[in-house]
Amino acid sequence: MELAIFIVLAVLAISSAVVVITQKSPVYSVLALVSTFFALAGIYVLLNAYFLAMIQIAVYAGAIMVLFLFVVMLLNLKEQYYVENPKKIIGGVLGLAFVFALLFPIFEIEKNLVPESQMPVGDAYNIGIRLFTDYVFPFEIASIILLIATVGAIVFTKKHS
Amino acid sequence: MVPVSLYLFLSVVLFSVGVVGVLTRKNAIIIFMSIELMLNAVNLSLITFSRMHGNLDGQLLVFFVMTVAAAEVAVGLAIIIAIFKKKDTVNVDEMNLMKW
Repeated sequence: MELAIFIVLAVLAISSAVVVITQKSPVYSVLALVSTFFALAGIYVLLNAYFLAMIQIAVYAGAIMVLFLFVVMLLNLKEQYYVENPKKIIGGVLGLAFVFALLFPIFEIEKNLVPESQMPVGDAYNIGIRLFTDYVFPFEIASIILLIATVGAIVFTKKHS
Repeated sequence: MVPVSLYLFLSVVLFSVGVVGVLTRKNAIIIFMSIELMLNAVNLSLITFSRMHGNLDGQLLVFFVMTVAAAEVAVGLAIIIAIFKKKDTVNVDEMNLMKW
C-alpha cells in the first residue's frame, strides 16, 4: 500500500519535473513545479516528516512559487521563447550519465529505514524542541539571512534617481 | 515499507532533471526553477537519511535549506527583474557583462 502511494507520487513528481524543463511557456513550467512540490510533500509524509511536508506546501508551493508566478507575469515575456540550444541532446546525455553514475552507490546501501517505533516523529513538537535548544544559533542566523535578503531584494529593484 | 534506495533513486532523478534544465535552457527564470528542483531533490535525500538513521538532524537541516532557498529566490528574482529592466530580456546568453 505504502509502495503504491510512493510510486504514484514519484511518477507525478518526475513527470511534472520533466514538464518544467521542457515547456516553452514559463507559466506552465511554474505550474508544473508546483505539482512537483506537492508530490514531494506527500513523499515527506510517507517518511514521517509531517512538519516539513506542511512547510513544503506553505513555503515552497505557496510563497516561493507565487513569487515566481508574479515575476513571470510581471516581465510579460512574449516573444521571448528563445531559439533553444541545438546542442540540447548533449545536456540530455549528460543528465542520463549523471543518473547512472549515482545509481551504483545507491543500490549498494544495505541499511534500511529504521522501524517506525525507533524514529522520533518529525512533527512541529519534536522539530520545535530541537530548533529552540540545540539549533537556536543557526535559527537566529537564518532570521538575519531572511532580513538581509528582504533588504537586498528591495535595493535591487529600487529605481535609481 | 518502501526501501531506501527507491527514495534515493527519486532524488537522483529529480536532481538530474534539474541539471539537464540548467544545461539546456536559456530562459533565466526556468534555469532558476531547475535550481529549486535540485534543492528539493537534496532535501528529499536528507529526509530519507534522517529516517534511515532514526534521528531528526537531517530534517532540521532541511528546514535551514528551505530558509536559504526562500532568501535566494527573493534576491535572485530581484536580480532577474533588474536585468530585464536594463536589457529587456532574460536570455542568459545575452547577459555577458562579466564575461572575460
